[in-house]
Amino acid sequence: MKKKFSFYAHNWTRLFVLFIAFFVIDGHFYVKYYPQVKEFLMNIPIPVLNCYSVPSTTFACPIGTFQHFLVIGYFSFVTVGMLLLVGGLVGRWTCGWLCPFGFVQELIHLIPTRKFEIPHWMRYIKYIVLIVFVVIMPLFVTSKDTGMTETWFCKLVCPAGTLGAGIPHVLMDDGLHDLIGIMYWWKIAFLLIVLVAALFTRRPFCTTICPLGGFLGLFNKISFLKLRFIEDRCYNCNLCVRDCPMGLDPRKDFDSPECIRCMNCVQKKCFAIRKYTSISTEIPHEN
Amino acid sequence: MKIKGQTVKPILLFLSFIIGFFFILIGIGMEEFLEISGNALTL
Repeated sequence: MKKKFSFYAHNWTRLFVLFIAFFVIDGHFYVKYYPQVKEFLMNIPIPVLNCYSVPSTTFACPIGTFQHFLVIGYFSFVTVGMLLLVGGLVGRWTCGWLCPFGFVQELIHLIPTRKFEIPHWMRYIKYIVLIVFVVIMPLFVTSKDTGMTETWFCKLVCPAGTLGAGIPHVLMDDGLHDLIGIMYWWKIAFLLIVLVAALFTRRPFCTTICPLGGFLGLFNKISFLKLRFIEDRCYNCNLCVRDCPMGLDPRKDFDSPECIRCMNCVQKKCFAIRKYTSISTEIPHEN
Repeated sequence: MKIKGQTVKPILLFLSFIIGFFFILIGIGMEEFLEISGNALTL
């Protein structure tokens, strides 16, 4: 009998999609030849953490854009509207299938080392980061150098910006060498901490710090795309727990704000975790 | 009055779509996209 094709058949499928998304979002192959495409797409914030200072990026970063508008005294309706629409549609799905920095962390995690779980309380740090660094500080905290408020999350925290923009810009432009200060080395150190942590634990930045993941995760319980656990089908093989890139137990946490909708648990042979949408005709029964 | 979660969730989903849609329309009306690209290009 011919086996039915499943898009979620293997974790490698998702890594391949992440790989393609990485090249589309960072535009290495077409930005050079089609600058008009970049000019158009640069207006659009997309729901992944991609720094718009990356030399070859094609889209705007929603966290950077939101902060920038707060700094100049406005509210970014487009960014928040886009996040509400995407969050309502698929929750945190974009973290699992599109985010370039998540992809980098997952690749590093593939290196065989002893693995650890992140303490549960650390998952709440990202909400503090969201409120303090993305909302309050860009509104009220002024920089000593400029006397103005700044995009503080980008300046102090964002390792995606350091990896994609900070390091390449310094390597490409000798004139920037004189400007390197303690802030640059702090961000390099923080990036290294995140990348080393990714060796030993699953998606450490997404789990504990990412404010975008924190915001989109709030929609997981209500989103159009849903997961459901069917207890009768589960025979406790624990494969879904083993393969969860966020270190969750999908049997309990199928609609947790931490779930990135990677669908690794959905494709297990027991079919205990089912995906469905708000308009599905056959909704798996609840427990 | 107690409202069950299964009633509240679709309402919240509907609200997020409606608010998101109108926010994008407002943003387009305020020509936010020009500011976004301007910011991105000057960084």
